[in-house]
Amino acid sequence: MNHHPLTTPIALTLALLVGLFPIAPTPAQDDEEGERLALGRIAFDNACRMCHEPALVEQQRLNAAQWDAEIDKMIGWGARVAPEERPNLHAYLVAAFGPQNQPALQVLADPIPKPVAHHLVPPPPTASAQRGALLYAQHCANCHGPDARGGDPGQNLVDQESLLTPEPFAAIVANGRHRMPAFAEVITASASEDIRAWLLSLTGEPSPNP
Amino acid sequence: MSLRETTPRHSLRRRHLLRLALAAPLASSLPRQLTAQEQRIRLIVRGERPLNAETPVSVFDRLLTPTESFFVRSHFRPPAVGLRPWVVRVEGLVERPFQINLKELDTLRLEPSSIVAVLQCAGNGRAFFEPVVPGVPWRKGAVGCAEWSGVRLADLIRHAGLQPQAAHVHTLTADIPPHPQTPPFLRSIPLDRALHPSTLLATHINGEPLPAIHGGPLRLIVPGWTGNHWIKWIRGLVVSSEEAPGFYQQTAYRMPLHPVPPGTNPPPDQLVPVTELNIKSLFARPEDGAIIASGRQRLVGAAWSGFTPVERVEISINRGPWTPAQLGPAASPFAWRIWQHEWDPTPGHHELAVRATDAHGTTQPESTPWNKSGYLWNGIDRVRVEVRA
Repeated sequence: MNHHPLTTPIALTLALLVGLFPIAPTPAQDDEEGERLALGRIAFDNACRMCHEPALVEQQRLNAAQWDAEIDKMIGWGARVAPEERPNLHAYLVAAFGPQNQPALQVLADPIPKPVAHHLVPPPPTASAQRGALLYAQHCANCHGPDARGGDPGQNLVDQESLLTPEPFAAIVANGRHRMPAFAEVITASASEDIRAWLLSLTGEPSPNP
Repeated sequence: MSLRETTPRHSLRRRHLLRLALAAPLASSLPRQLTAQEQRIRLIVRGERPLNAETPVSVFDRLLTPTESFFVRSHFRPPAVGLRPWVVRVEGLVERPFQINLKELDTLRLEPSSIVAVLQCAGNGRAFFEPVVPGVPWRKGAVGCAEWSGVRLADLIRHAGLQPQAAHVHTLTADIPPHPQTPPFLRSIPLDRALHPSTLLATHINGEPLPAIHGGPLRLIVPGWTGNHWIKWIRGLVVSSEEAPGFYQQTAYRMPLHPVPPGTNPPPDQLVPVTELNIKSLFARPEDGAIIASGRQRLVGAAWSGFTPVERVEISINRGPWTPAQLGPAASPFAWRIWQHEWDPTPGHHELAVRATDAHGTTQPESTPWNKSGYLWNGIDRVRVEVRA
């Protein structure tokens, strides 16, 4: 096939002018966009990662409308996203995990980590579920909900695997995890066993008519 | 403290913000060579918490998928097993509601039952739909075949005695939503499916106690139907005249009754529950992208369906004619069948395709009709290989 010698350069120039120039951001626009994405990333860490490790989200390739629907669904399911955070979160998800996303292969080479235990190591006889209830109300209920069945932003604690043994439960209380702060200064190891004793008194038995 | 105050220099700040926002997740997204350890992969992770992970196709060359490589689908974190005795309740529209400690199940003197059956997630292959749909982006490996052992669900329900209005069985599970607003994973199966002799409550997989990650100590086994019916951590069975209420039964796991244009979703009365598996086959060997030495090759894989048996499997090389592959025995009506085919390749690049056909003459399509949640993908599996002299 013979092209006019100028066809290709002209086509390229046109493509550059039409395709790039109108969306090439000025430094100020770029700056605003960067800040919006950074704030969106913070909202993602705070709201989504309470329940999801990022792999599930990192492997998505959704367009703006689909991310909009996902955010709505998750807010309906209890994700805490303030109205002013929502546009930033949406912009971040579309920019980072839009249709152009090429997710990495993530593999598990070792066997699935087994739970710490399959048998309960009960709190010592000196532990008191009654004291635990008071400690829980004072330090934990604000995030995990008054009945420990989840709140803002704490997860449901009923029937958690971490309740089976004194550790890692005490370590999570002492050091915190995800957005949970460290309580080492205010909750001793024995108080941690009081709280575990109270949480163990709750059951996740499903209701036949939810 | 605002970000603007912390980073006074314009260009530096812009670069910093962009890096902060985008670099961290995307850095891990670049394709790379697998390490030697990763080549012995047991599972491909689609989400770490809750864990969703699929099986590498290389183990689909045998009847029973090793338990350690069996795919894992979780909606919420697994419940603790062992906090207290595992008690199962049978109630609702039954004559004699009862509950039993799983350790004492033997005292009911129910006949033990085992079945080799395919378990496949309704969303296996979701990543192949175009336009892209949200959800766990499973490719080929959210499927496996195992021997499941326990008791028949029918025997347990009949022990309680059915009332005449009984029509559905609600399956109460022990996994707990993270937040009070998150809907529980409550589902139900129609009574005739619950009473089908293949429907089990399993305590064992491949002869071993069912691991908690796979629904132990007690999981519902619904051969021929998609994985969303195979409820893990069964704690209760409630017989009812109605389907289960709530998101996971009434909204999720539904697909268009008739094909729709990609990107559209019909009204609810045009949606039906996803139930039976459709005809499907995959390559175990060679893997897509493999570089293989010349000489005779044995192509191997698995083929399965729902209630209509697999009748034939065919191979096409470089979009040439379909030629029959050799089909292995059927270990049960719900097991997959291993197929194989000898191939004498010439050096160069080749595209191999496999398709299965069931006893009703239904053949795998090139691609599956689009549906909004990406269910039941069964498009023809194609792998590209390079043969080197």
